[in-house]
Amino acid sequence: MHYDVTLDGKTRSVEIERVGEDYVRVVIDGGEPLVVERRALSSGMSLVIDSKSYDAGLVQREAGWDVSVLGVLHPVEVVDPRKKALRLAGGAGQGKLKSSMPGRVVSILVEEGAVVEKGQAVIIVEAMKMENEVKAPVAGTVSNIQVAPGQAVEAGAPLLTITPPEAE
Amino acid sequence: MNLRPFKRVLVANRGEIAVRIIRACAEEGLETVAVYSDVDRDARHVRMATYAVHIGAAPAAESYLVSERILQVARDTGADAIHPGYGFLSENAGFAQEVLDAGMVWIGAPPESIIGMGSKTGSRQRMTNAGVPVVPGTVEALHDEAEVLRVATEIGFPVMLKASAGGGGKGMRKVDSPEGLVSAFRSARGEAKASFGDDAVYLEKFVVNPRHVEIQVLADGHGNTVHLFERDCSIQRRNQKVIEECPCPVLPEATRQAMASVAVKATEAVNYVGAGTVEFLLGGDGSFYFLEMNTRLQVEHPITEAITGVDLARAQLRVAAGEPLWFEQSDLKINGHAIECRVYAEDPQANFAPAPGLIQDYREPGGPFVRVDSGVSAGSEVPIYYDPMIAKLVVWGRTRQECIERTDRALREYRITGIKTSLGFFRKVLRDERFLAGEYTTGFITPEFLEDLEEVRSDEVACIAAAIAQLDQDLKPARAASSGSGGSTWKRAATWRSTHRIR
Repeated sequence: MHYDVTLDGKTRSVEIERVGEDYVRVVIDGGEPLVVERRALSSGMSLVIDSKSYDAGLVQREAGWDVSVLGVLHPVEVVDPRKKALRLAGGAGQGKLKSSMPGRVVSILVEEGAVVEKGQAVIIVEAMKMENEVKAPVAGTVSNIQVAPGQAVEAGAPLLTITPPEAE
Repeated sequence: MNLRPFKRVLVANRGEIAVRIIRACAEEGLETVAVYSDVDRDARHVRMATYAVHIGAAPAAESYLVSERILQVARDTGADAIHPGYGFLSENAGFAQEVLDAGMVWIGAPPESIIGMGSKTGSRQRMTNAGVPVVPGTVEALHDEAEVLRVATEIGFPVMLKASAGGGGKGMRKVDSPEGLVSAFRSARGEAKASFGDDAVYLEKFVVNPRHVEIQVLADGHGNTVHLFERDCSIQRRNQKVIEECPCPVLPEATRQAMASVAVKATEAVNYVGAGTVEFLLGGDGSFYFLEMNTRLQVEHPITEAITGVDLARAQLRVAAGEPLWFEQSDLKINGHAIECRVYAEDPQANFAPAPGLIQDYREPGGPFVRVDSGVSAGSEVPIYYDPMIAKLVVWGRTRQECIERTDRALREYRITGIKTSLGFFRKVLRDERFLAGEYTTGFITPEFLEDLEEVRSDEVACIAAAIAQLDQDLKPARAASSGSGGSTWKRAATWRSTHRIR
């Protein structure tokens, strides 16, 4: 199997195959093959690579896995290149503003049709007793406001759309 | 035999502090009553208490802040004392008085002390009158925008807006120039109203690059007041503490004595009884300014317990029962060093945005001199309604160096998956040269500092583990795979969990 594995903006090309029940052979970016002995454990995996022991926590996400090693969370994106083409066809729209956290909309500071500057606060979302300003990621015109004050929102919920001038 | 004036304590709080108080009560031979909102039925404090009663909907304003309901639960369950913990009703003098009027014991500061110190503007005035240095600013709450602008211009920017009834950074705003002042004033008032039910906000000069050092005090009802040395709480984000340590790595003994003596005086000035904290700003030149007194048990109290051997929560119970302190000032010594890391459900690299959600796996560190106070476990949902702090890692060492090494070891052992937390961020702080030298200020955390955690990451291992997990999933029999890919992220995460956990 071949995966493109991305962490912190760096993509590694990983060739991987099972070698018997407990072993996996891994080649990263065409380098020396590694033989990994792995045991699936509760919510994670114990790995022994060249006699070195690692303990990893694993949680699946939309685009890959959150891997916890030595107290540090690594959000790793794992893509099967054969499926990638399909996903790109879906395409995420530009200027769509999403809530970065679950919370409650306190107020909406703009109206549809308003022209906003980049970095201008457009919506206030309260989460865990903190009021957080959601700022415009680009300058442009506001449209398609999808939330109302008092409304609860999930992380990733669409809030509104900002269309940059050149795209209009 | 228990001759205490109370036998059953209602704990009017949730999370780790409710657990902490329940433990202290259990050691003192007291029964406990837990209260819980709609989303806290499965919480650890509910399971640990002797009794548990539902008090309302998830928002704190409909449960943990509803004083009449909590009092009613106390009456219904035969509780004869109430411990408020920190936050929520802990510094609400009206509630304290209602508890006393109901004939119950209030395990907290006397209402008149809360009034004297609980309002920051009032305590500033009191300290000014007593000749204690305070940061330049207003002592009165500001109510209109023109007044705020006038006062800020007088004092000079940058200024700090603060909620009069506040704490924990809520309702606080730093303002660098007149342009941002009015909107900051409005949002500070809104946040103050939402958090404390009081929108009074005052203003003071922003002291550049200070340290935040506080003195723990303990007073009984027999005229004895002691201090339990200082805690350095300078590592902050959004004006809220994230790492505390004691003793302060740079405090000269003479300054420690002076600060402690002011703290004891301030405590006595309001006829204080119980555990409290007097907060100071410490300037680089050794000068210090009174900030405020917190008339409650602090989040970071365990590090003081670690270096003094005094159980502050049990001390609160004994003092509330009318007992005199069982030690004197001269009995107290600083023994070694202690560090606390506040583990938050948040994303340090997204400017510490709250990251509530389901905790998949939860494994606390152990070993010598490592303590974890938490209110969560694997499978806990961290709700959006409350403070995002889920646990406190408290580590003791003979020296500061030993303490830092042990804290890093404990962080490497700590496993929390399913939500983003500040664990990795702490590992980076503990390797930072400024922190290692003890030379840091409240401005320690900068945007540059947060850019990445590269030095504490294990990228290759993480990538290998993720690729293997993906391979195992892709090679799963078709039936299992289809049930995984069809559901939500959570559902799929749960599939992975159940596959590998249940044997």
